[in-house]
Amino acid sequence: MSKSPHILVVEDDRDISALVSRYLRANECRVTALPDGRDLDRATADHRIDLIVLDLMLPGEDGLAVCKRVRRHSQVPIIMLTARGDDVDRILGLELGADDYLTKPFNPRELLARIRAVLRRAASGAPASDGIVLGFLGWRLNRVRRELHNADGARVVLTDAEFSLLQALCERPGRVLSRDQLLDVTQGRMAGEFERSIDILISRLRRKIEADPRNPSIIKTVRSGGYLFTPAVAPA
Amino acid sequence: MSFVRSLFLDRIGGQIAILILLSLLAIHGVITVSLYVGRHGERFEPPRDSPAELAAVVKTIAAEPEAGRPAAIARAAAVFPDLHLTPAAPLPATDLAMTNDRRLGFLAHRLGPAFRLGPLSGPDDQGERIVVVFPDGDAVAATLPAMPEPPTIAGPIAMTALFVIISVTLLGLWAARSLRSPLSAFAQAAENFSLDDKDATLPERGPQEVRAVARALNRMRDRIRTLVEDRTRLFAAMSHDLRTPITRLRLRSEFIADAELRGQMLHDLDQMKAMTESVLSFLRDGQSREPMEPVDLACSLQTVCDQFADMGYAVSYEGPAHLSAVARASEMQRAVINLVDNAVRHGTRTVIRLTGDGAAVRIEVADDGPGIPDASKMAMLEPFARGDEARNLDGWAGFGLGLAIARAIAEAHDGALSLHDGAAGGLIARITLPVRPATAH
Repeated sequence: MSKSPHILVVEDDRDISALVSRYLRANECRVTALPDGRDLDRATADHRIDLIVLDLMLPGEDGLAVCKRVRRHSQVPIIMLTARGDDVDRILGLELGADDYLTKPFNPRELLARIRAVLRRAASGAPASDGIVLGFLGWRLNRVRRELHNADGARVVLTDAEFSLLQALCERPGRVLSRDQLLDVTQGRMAGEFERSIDILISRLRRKIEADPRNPSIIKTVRSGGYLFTPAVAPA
Repeated sequence: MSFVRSLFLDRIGGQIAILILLSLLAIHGVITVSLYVGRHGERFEPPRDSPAELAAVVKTIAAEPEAGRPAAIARAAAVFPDLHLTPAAPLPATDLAMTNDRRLGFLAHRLGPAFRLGPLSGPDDQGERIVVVFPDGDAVAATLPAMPEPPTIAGPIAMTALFVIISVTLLGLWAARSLRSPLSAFAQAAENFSLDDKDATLPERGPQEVRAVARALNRMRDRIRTLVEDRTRLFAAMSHDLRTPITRLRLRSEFIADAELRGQMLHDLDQMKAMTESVLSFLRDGQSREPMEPVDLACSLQTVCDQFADMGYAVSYEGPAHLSAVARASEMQRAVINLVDNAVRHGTRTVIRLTGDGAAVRIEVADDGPGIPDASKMAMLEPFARGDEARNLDGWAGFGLGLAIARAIAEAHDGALSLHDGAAGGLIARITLPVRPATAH
């Protein structure tokens, strides 16, 4: 992050590719653009690529296959660009190892924020290696599908920001996390007009997962410190 | 046989002809049988001509010499016991030639003017007791047996008529039914005619004419379906492909220096994006690959509330903190978002209510807007329907697919979407979902 990251953009639409490249370059990134996945191996070998922005709809070898191929020999972070509604593709992509996704048409500022968040996550040592599903008190948090199920097995719908916040807490149980730290983790998801303070997100999360939201036992407030996730978390 | 079948039995006309022929044969058969039975039945023994008999007997007796008459009377009484012949004292005879009794008149006529008749007693069950005075003054009493019931010609006819009526009625009902059942099955199938259900072809049964219509309609349905599918594909492809230019524009607009112009462009692009997404969402309805699973609907609705509240709308949630039902989480959320989207456009305050009992879960989105007149409520649920005030595409009116999508989603959950008037004005959009066993899936 200290030096400008090198982003590989794999996108078949020349205009979109050029515009994304231009936007990212304007925001202190180095960019290599490819029209499809054929030269991807050489590009990753020639340059030290920090992150791949991968369009799922590519001519020839599609984005999912490219994603799978890259994951065979590399842990380079991947952000997928998908068409809205292709939920199955999105989930497949995430299960194949993509780190995040954006639906077209996307807001370039959102893309930049996601790129930064994924890079930050990658730099801080990937916590995603210890299981896709995390469990606490019977709750199950699926980090790929980004779904939360309660102890009865019922799905509990969270917004992206709420999910990221809960995931951050879950991945660091028993540690006091400051608002700044939490904001940092969730920022990529919260860019744009829906930015809310961490406190509001915490209160909404509590309403959904705490038995008594006014007397929380799962997410505790630490006076002048931040928040503490109390239950034991284990891969499930 | 197959030729005969194809010529007659297959067509409605042929079937009716066969039906009439069969009914006539049945009538004929019934009449024949009833007459045959009637001729041999004991009740229809040819009637005896009692007055003629009596006249002959009386004349025979009168022909005897006076001394032999008692013996003759006894002999005759033995032969014709029902005449109850007995010697009688001569009576001042009445001339019965003028009698109104047809049988007595006939008897008098047979006996001739030399004999005179007199009544002895009134008619009873046995018959009429009379006295016949011979020309020489001697007399005999006799009973003219009661007229046997007139041969019951009316009986067999009435029965036959009854039989005929019943059998023809039954035949007619049967025939009408057998003619009608393919037609009504046909009508039912046409009523349920749906482009989505591949199995709902019209049954090609019944008379040839009905089969021909069914075949023609099935072919027409296939053509319509192909047409609709082509249109749908075109529509989807357009909406899908529009995303690329919209994405480009979205990216280009980031490089516009004029902040106001950029803001306006982004607004337009967001609107275009919302429209293409609503079209794709509408075209996708019912084909969602999202699994049905237990979902905490209360949390979903609170999430919708929060999202709208974040955009500055007054949307609140009333209901339990948690309530699970089997549903497709994102689809159901999409439906509620569409309803709330509609509500915040027309009202200032929106309430999302969740209630549930053992049989159904109800999600209500109530606004304090002007509401929708009853006459337009159903129409508003149709695709591309828009309230008049929203007909221009300013703001977020979109294609008018929001309610149609919500309805399609509710129906894909075996539920329903309905619009109601709020108690204090405004509109209530209500999604009713049947409660499924939570073990499903």
